[in-house]
Amino acid sequence: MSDMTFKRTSGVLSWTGKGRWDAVSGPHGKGKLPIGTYRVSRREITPYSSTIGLGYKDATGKGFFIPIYPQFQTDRGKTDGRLGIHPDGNIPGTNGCIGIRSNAKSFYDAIAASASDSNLTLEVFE
Amino acid sequence: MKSSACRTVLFFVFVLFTLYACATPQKSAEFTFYDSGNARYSTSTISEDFQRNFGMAFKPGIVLIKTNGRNNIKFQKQEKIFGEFAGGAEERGLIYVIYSDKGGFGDGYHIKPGELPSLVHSKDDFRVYLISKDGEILLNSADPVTVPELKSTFPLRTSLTD
Repeated sequence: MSDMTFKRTSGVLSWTGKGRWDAVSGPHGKGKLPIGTYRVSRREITPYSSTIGLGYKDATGKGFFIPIYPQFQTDRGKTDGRLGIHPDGNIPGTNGCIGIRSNAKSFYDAIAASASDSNLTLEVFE
Repeated sequence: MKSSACRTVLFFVFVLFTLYACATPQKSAEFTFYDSGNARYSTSTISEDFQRNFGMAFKPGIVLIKTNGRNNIKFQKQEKIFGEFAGGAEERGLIYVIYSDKGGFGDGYHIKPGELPSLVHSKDDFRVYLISKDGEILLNSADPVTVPELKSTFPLRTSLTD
C-alpha cells in the first residue's frame, strides 16, 4: 500500500496520517500525469525557499520541489522535464507535476520531518 | 461551339480554383484529441472541454506533433527541447498533442490512430504544427521547433484565458 495517493479527478493528494491537500496535475504540456505507482524521492527534496522558480512557489513567495519517478513504463518525466510535487505557483496548473493549491508548506513540513532515506511511494488514481 | 467555349471557361475556372486552394496555406485547425485519462477534447469546444475535465476554462496554444514513433530522431530531439523549455509551456499556456499511426502515446495528450487530422500530411515521418489558442496554424515545420521559436510564436500569458 502506498504512503500517498493522488486522485486526478477530485484533485486530492492524501498522505495517511499526515493530511490532505487540494492539488492539480496538468493541464499544460502533456497534461495530467499517468495513473500508476511513483517513487517519491525524499532525498532529493529542495529547501523551502524563495529562490525556486515562480511556478513552484506558494502565495508566500517560497516553494519547493520533490521529484517523483514512475515505477511503470512511460516516457513522461524522462526527456520532457521531471515530474514532481510542488506548490502550484504562477498560472494555475502544471505540466504534469502535482501542484498543491493550498497549504503547501504543511506538506513540505510533513515530508521534511520524515527520514531522509524513507522509501515513500505515491499511487495515482483516476 | 458556344457550349464548347463554355466548357473551356469552366475548365479554366476549375484549374484556377484548384491552384488557389493548393497554394493557400490552411489557416485553421480542427481535430479531436484525448488526455492520459482518455477524456475527449475538441479544438472547436476546447475551453468547455477543459472546464469539464479540469474545472478550468483553458484556451491553450497547441504544439501538434506527428511522428512515426518514439525512436524517430527528430521526435527525440523535440522531446529534449520540451525538457529545456520546462516551465515555458505553463507560462505560455501550451499543450503538446502527439499523433502516431502506431499509437503508444496514451500517457499524455494524443490523437488516436486512424483519427489523423486533415491538416496533417499523412506521409511525413515527423512534422510539427504550432496552433494558436484561436485555432490558427502559425507554423508548420518538418524539423523540431526550437525554444526561441516557441517563445516568439506564443506570447507569455497572465491567465488561462487571456
